[in-house]
Amino acid sequence: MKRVISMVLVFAMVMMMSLTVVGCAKEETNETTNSEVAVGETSATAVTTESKTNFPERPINNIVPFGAGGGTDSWNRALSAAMEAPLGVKILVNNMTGGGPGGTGQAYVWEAKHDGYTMLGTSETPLLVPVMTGMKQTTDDFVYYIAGGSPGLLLANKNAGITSMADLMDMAKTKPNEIKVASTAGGLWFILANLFNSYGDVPLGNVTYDGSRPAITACVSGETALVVASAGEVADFIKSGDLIPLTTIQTTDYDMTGHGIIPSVITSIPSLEKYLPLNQWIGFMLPADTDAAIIAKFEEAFKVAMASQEIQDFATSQYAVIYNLTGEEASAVAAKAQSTMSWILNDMGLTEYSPEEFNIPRP
Amino acid sequence: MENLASFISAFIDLLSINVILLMLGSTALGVIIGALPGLTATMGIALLTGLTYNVPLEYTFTILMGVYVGGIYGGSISAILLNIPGTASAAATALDGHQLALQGKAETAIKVTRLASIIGTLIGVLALALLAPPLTKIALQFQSTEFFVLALFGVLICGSIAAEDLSIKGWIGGLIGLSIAFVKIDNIEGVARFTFGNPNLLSGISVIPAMIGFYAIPEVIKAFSNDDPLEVTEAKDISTEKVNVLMTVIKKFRVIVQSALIGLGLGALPGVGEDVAAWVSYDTAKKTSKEKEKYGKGSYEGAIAPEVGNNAAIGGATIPLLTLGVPGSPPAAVLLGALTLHGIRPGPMINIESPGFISQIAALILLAVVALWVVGVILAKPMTKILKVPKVYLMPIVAALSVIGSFAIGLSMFDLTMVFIFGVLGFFLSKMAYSPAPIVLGLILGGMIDETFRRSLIAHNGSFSSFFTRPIALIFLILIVLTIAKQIFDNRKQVKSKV
Amino acid sequence: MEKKAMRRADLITSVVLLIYSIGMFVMSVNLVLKTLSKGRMWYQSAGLFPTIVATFTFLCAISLMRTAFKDGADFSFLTMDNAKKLIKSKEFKVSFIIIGLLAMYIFILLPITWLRYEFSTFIFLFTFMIIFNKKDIKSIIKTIVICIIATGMLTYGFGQLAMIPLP
Repeated sequence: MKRVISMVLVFAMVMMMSLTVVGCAKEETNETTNSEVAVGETSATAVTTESKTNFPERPINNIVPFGAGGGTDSWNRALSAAMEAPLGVKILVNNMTGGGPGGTGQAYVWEAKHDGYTMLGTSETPLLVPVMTGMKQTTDDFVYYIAGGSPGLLLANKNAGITSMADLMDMAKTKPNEIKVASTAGGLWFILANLFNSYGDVPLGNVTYDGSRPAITACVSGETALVVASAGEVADFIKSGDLIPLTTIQTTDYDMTGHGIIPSVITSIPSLEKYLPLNQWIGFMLPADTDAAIIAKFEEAFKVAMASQEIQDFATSQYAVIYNLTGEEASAVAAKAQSTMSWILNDMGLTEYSPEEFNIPRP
Repeated sequence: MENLASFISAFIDLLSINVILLMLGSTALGVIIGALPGLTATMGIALLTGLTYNVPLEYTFTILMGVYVGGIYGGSISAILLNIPGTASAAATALDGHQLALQGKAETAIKVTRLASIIGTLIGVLALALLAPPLTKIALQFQSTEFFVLALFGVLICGSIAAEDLSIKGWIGGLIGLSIAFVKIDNIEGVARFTFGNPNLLSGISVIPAMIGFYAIPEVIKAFSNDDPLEVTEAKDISTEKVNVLMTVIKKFRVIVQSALIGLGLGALPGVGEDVAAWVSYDTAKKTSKEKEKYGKGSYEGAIAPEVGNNAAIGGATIPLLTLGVPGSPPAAVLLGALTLHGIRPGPMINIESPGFISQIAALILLAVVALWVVGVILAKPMTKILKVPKVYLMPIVAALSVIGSFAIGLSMFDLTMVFIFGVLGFFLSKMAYSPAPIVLGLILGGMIDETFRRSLIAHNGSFSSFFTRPIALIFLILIVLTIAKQIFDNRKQVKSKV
Repeated sequence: MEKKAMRRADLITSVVLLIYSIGMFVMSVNLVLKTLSKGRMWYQSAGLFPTIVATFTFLCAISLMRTAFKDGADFSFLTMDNAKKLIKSKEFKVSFIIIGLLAMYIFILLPITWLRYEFSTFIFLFTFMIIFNKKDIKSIIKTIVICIIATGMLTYGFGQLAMIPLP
């Protein structure tokens, strides 16, 4: 008996200490009185008795299909915090990684009830879920809320002897495939990195890494001469002079605060125009068959959040352009991006499933 | 020297009642999180990052660094008492630590590892505060070539991990671990490898569920299937040796400095974390020790080396985190998220955009060290009393904890399936004298060794020359050759003497 | 395990490893061939390292088998009698029960979404403890109390403090 008591005492002490720490952490956020956080629970009565115009009545779960600290995660935490006031409930952000380009998180949200209490943080990366994992849901099955994104840049290591696209294109002709671009192993940056040799007639080699940051580090350390990444991720290296931006992979020039104008890639390689826009964008999505009133509620809250100072500041700090799209516009952007990205990867032989199986049209 | 001044003033600034109390609480929380099998420092930091989103900056990082330092230390407690490392970084500590516990020296072992952890963290912190820029430059010298040779060096350790039976079982364990690590979407070709069409496997098999499966579950099963009563009944020292903790540790000065440097260096490399640092420290200490035979049987050195190494790696991992924005270890990766959320931009501009931040973080870690000492002293006795809980109550709770712990990381039922599969597999393997350590080490290193090899060749257009022309890589290669040569030589000697 | 039994177990392990390594080898070589057929270099292939690992595993398996044979093991122990003895042994029964409990927890109790985490965990803990504990009234009550406390703390700690959606 004594042992049990001492064990209980130890645990009580543990609880006291954790409570003080967590209590401090929670002092700025509203305590939730409702303990019904477990999303796994479903009950038939909940659907009928919960009036849809009273949405939301309890905390909402935002599932981010990528790791803590990444772009999608940071944006969604910022957005969720900003939407709590207009919605009137807490939004809990949880990370659920896995399944390639975010398949596990997407499946979880899809299989939960489509009642608006489970949302999916997203970026352009999960658009590849169908062709990489075989899951059937495409952009037709979701509604999108697109907040913003950071423009994609092609940069050179300061010691590579390349200061402009003209330099690069000349050098590439004399040493085909020897100049390497660092990028992620799949997803948007990989596609952008390979646009040059596959469709732009600039023969660059490609070395892939486990994520944007390792790719950027590799270029800074000199392992590759070039790297493709978002402006937000490389801003500090541009400022410190370690990386030189050559061009931005979008149809318009990019005026980067603190640096100046970075020319659009179509000034030097016009043939790439038909594959663009291929921008990074981050936001969240809901299943399309969620009740229309709930979708509208989210739209309102989203608009309030996007107009808030916190989000404006956040976007500036991330060197992100604000897109602020919902409804038809957002779906159109998502659909086009899904079609372009899926087919480019498919033509490179890098997909597990063909986009045709999901009726994703060719761009 | 202005770094030193800034460091000291940052520390003094911290000394307010709120911060001190918060640091004590979070370090304690960290130790407990680390000690509980199923929870790891990484997970603790991840959970708290979300919870502290709205908390002011100074308090947030007080909490996070406290949990970080406490967590890395905490893993050693369950490693010693239960042979279940609470965090991956404590796996090496379990080898000698648990043996010491079985010999009735559990309390001393805990005190020794606590002191070792404190010293390790201190050295790491000093490096962070004073040497961040030059260490960053060295870290940038590491390209895929260097990482490959380093990973190869790490894998070689598998063979020398003290297994009771044949040493080939260490190799087999390592190879199994490597092959498990290969199951994922390949990062270089972009093709799915060994996934058999299962989308859950596309992102690979996470280390934590595998580790929990290989370590915790077999221990739970073994606790009931062994005929001996609870092995470590009394955490108080049964053995009558009066071991002076301080003297024991100080005598091992060389091992400490060596392990700290290894931990610091490995931690500072992006992608190589506290767990690998602990293993390499352990192995190097063993290879350079005058009492090799004692390793694996309860040698204090064997417990000190990895604990110094993994705590020094904390300071090490924070360096590239802050100066390059590239985390040096999994917990540091979560810290990166916390930094971004609070508007700090780690990277080469950090000293310009957030001046003094590096010194602040270093000061926080220093405070955490002090807190660790205080908390360690307070918690040591109660934690060892855990062993007095009859295993019929303790072990099922450990099992339940492992299950929810693995779930909490990725919120994935699939991870639980992994825990189950590896648990059963691990149980059978351990019955046949396969230590789980090389398997987990192989799992950790598998991705790195595979990708860096191919990446190096791709980046150099198929030429192997980089392995021989780049100085750091060459040094490691020579070390590897020497190590293998020595092993063969030793084996020959053993065989000869047997005849 | 004493040495003789160990060597016998090793023999079986080595066979399993042989099959495993051959399987992995075949799959890896396939991957390499696929890479080459796409016009890429051999060193880019995802199958490269797995092929190497498979080869080494094969060699280790052979070595293990040799040692087992040298130490006197052979396949003759694979008899029905021995199998029956194994199943009757305490060790086997205990491990079987615990593995079964875990399987029940992970594959049955938790996935049932209407059965909340608290109950699944309580059932698991209680069953586990009851099976292995003394079967008198005092112990049973102690067990119930401990289970309630433990379940409560796990649920509170993860569900409330960490705010995780529990399974």
